[in-house]
Amino acid sequence: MNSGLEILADAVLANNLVLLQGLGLYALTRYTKDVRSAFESSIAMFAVLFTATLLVWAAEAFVPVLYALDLPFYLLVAAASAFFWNFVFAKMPLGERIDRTLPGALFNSILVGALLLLPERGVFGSGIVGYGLSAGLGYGLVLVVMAGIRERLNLSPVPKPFQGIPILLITVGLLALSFMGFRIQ
Amino acid sequence: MTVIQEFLAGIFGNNPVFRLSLGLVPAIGVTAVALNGVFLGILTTVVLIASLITAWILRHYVPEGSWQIMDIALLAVFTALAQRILVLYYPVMVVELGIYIPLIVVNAFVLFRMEHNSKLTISIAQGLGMGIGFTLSLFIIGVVREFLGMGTLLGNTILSGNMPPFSLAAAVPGGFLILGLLLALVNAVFGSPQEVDEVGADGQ
Repeated sequence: MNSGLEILADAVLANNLVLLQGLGLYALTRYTKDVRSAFESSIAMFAVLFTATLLVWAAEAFVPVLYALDLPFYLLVAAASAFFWNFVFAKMPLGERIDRTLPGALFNSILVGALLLLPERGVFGSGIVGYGLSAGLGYGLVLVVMAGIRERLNLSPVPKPFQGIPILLITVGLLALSFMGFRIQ
Repeated sequence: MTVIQEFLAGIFGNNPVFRLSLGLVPAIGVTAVALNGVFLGILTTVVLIASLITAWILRHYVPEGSWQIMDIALLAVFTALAQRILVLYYPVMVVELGIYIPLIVVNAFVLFRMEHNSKLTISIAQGLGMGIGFTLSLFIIGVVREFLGMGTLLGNTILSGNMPPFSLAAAVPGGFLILGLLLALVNAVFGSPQEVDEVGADGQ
């Protein structure tokens, strides 16, 4: 799997990291209180994933077998990328609001999970950067959609035991079911 | 609170999955089979306790501003070590659990628990309590999903094939639905929890 469109469709729809791999649930339950914070978190994650995959691609040129790279390396790349954008966003005029979600980006299982999934999904070369960008897009899509649904859920009469995380997870489950339609079994 | 109270709070009042909604990624990712969930829960507890003890020893030699970085580094070292050892003894389990073993490092409840207490016994009681609470919740979710999804219970066939299994329960979307329903059930019985908004409010 290394054509651009294939990677885009796989990471955004057919194997969406949040809905169909079940990653990044901490962000999904905490950063979707309103559309704005969901959007900010998505932008931060998109930027961090871009530089992190760029670094992995560069490293792949020196270490020929991607499978030799392991957790400590991926964590180092994730940390370098998160701190780089932390620095960049702090200098930008509107950056201070995005900046807030960046330390969280390092501990988000989307970031480390996407890097760990690279060998399993069989992407290599420049496809790695493509996968990072697509994963960021898929994450942003789910977060913004969920934030929109959550704003409407706030106006709906939800039974008391279901309020908060339970109704959110059930909504995510139903959304994930619709995304399952993009898979060919 | 005494050591015993801290330990019990981790299992019941502060249960990571059912009360604090932390560590939901493994709670959905590995619980299609109940024993996998138990295995990951025990592994997470071992890594957490080992990191807590090492962090307690090393904190006298590391400046306070770098403690968070030290925590992450220790978790990464112990997780990588656990994975290497498991490859030798349980290679099947490493393949089954896949990326969820390395993801222990970014598990929200592990990061939440890696705080620096001056007393080691309290830290260990809290870590052990929450680890057991986490393992127990993964086991409960796993039993429900495994029974619905494959008609088996801890690997033993219960439904003899006359009824087709509800295979959605074994997939990730079914995991969301079942975890949501279980959380609602726990809320209905024990009352709604107050929400923990940010992991380690001191800026993680």
